Amino acid sequence: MNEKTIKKLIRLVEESDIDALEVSSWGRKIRITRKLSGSSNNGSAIAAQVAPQTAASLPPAPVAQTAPVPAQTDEDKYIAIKSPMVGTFYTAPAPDAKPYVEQNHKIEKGQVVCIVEAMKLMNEIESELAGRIVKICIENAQPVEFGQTLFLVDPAG
Amino acid sequence: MLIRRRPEHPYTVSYLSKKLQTEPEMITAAAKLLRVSGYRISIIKKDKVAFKSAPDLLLAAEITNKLATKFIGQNVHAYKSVQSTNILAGQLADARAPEGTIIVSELQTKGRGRLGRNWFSAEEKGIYISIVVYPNIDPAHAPGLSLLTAVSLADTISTYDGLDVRLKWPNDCLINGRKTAGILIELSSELDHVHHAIIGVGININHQRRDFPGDIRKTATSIRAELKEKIHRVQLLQKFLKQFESDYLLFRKTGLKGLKKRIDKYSHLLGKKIKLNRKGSIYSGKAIDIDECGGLIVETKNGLKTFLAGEVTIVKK
Repeated sequence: MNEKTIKKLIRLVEESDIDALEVSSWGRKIRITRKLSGSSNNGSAIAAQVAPQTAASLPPAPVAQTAPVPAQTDEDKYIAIKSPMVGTFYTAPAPDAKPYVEQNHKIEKGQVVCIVEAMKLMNEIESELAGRIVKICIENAQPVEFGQTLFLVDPAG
Repeated sequence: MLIRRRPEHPYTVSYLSKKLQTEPEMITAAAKLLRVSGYRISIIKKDKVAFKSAPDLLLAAEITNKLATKFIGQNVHAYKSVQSTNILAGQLADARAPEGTIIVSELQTKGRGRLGRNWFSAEEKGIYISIVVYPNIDPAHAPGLSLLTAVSLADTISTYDGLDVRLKWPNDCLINGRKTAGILIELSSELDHVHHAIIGVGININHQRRDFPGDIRKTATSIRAELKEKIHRVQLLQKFLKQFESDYLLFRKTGLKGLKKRIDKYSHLLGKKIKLNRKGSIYSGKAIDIDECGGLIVETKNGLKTFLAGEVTIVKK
């Protein structure tokens, strides 16, 4: 058994989830073992990394404390995020989770801002623009129509 | 797996190592590793190996073995345990994994239902799977994916004789009135564009009655509990993937039209008196049809009403 073969065997063990492997050839025996650092379970480890991102933890959104909510007359300069379908509007991924966005939050293009549900299809709505949430137009868990305005966004931030 | 072509046939290690262009030690090592994964392989006098059987486990090699699909399930990420297959699928979709990529797991530690509700997952008894697709459809039509998946699932389960499979709108899959599979679809979209859809499905297959926790023992069931027979999970999964692929392609061409007959055939509600709870408001009436968008049409005192959401219960006479 040459070095190359042994290296290959070691890689084989590394890539699998077993702890030890014994192979013999021409009367010689090699035993490869490994100490498991933490969980040997790939899936769990991966899932564990994943969790924080989906737990609706937004990047700490700077709250514009000094900017008062602009008067209604300014609405023209705001851009609406509209609902792509008929359904139910949810501000958070689960009843006990933090909302995706709140008033005055800064949002990025492509950021998930809410969920619209219809027939057990949960549609995560992404913002098409960056800006600041000026107004959340619908209350949580209320029905929405196609094309109805969900948020008003100030693209100027 | 070369030795699988002729089960029980003893292949010599030297033949295999020549054929596969690797060292004989690698052959023995591979055989041992496969045994650890649950394959039954005999190693005879250290110089011959014979294939006996494959385990009924959700391993990538088993799922793709002779899988007769074009793209659904051809790219497999298999895990022993994950928090939720939908979460991983979402990440793969963001990274633009090929369409039809699936994530399967023997166990989910945080199996999700709607709105943070749980889905009970028992190890190596069910199938927990998420499929990544990129349907080029109007987001307004996306809820149809929910019914499409339910119909594919009902067709798959119906291939086992003697089961009365019903779909309770929108997409609960029932056998003899008890829930045996659930579907949760997560879509990422903008106003006029679907980025991706994650089709999450949990199927109770080889659970026995006692495997279900007390709170759902009366309302949940599995295929095995109904048939009194153990089911080959990998075979069932392969059937489902094939059915889903053909229904998905049909849906992209015709919307729900092409699936309408089967939606009606499996419907648990049509023609029945129901109560629909929509955010605390109760509507009573007769369920009469499912429209092209998948909405439930109910004949109420105040005329026909179409619902896209709500909890339905059947009113017993």
